[in-house]
Amino acid sequence: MYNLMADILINVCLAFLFGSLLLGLHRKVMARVQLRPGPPLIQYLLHSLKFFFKESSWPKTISKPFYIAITVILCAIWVTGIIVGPVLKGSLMIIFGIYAVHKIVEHNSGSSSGSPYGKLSCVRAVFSASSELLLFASVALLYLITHTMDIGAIITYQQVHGPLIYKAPLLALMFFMIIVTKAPYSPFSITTGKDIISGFETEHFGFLRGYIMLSESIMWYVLLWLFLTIFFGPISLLWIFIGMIIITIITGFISAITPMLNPNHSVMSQLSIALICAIGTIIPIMI
Amino acid sequence: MEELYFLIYLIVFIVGAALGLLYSYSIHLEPFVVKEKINIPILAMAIIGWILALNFNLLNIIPSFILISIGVFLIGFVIDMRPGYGRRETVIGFVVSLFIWLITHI
Repeated sequence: MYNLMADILINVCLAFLFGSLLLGLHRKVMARVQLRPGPPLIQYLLHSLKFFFKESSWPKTISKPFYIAITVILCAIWVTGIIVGPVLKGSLMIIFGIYAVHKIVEHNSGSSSGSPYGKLSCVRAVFSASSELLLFASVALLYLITHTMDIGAIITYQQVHGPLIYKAPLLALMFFMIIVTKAPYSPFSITTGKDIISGFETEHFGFLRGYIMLSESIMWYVLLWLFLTIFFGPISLLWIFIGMIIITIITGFISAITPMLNPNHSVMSQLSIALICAIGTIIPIMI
Repeated sequence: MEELYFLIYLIVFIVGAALGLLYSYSIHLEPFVVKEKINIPILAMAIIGWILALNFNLLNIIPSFILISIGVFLIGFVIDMRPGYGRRETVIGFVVSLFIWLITHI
């Protein structure tokens, strides 16, 4: 008998553990490209678990209810992402909503801490909302091609018409840029740039930081799952895992060899990519 | 059901990785990576692990789920030893296992 709760629990655990290993792999790839030994693969997971057992401290400048609630919201939205994505294969619009709330969390996490680094990150989170344009454009163009927002229906569409990566490669590139934007140390990750320490995460310690790290690993898993499912069609979990490893290695290379852009350049680059890819996808549809 | 199996493999891999890390740090306490010859017991673990994980269908008498779990544990143990150790053993184990896979599938 199918048990929805068990399915959700298994998928959340899977996303957390595999997402953490992937982020560990990302750091390892970056280190090897930069000729360093790098941390062990399970370092990110160990860090996440470590924070749950560390003492939490509360800076004097924080807005406490907000400061705590924002990490819970971050965790809740990405667990929702797992339910809507891998478990139910529901609507892409909900994923878009989750992504939008993630931006709000980045913004409010920074502002609630009262730290100057958090506040700068909070401003940059507004700037970096341009990456949502990429997601919005890719969702809209997906609808134009498949006439559906439902992930399950998109998978069925690909069963009939073949993988969308062949039909709309520029659309896939646009979606890939969203993944690059969310990759750690990427040229577009201006909200957590090292010039502002850790950005909106700077003042979160202890179990709150643990929640943030847990959410980030689930987010990474969900984004990669979406990309592989939407553009490569009905593939088995093994191939999804292999695809996730390959994409993580690619983003690790990108993060290792590219400097972090300043906020203006980051926004302009994302907008330019969105525009070029959108036009390049629309023209073949119209013809 | 497929997800549950993968979750078990992941947990086994992580346990193996943590044990590998603890083991290699107990052996190598130096603040630098010692360039040493290939560690034979670790090489054996890597080869057995990769063979079990990739070529589990060669041993039909034991359920594949158990073979893959053991293989993934051994892979995790070697691959996640202290950074700088276990790399060559992992590569050799993977190549040997891939070679066997190619022979049995082509």
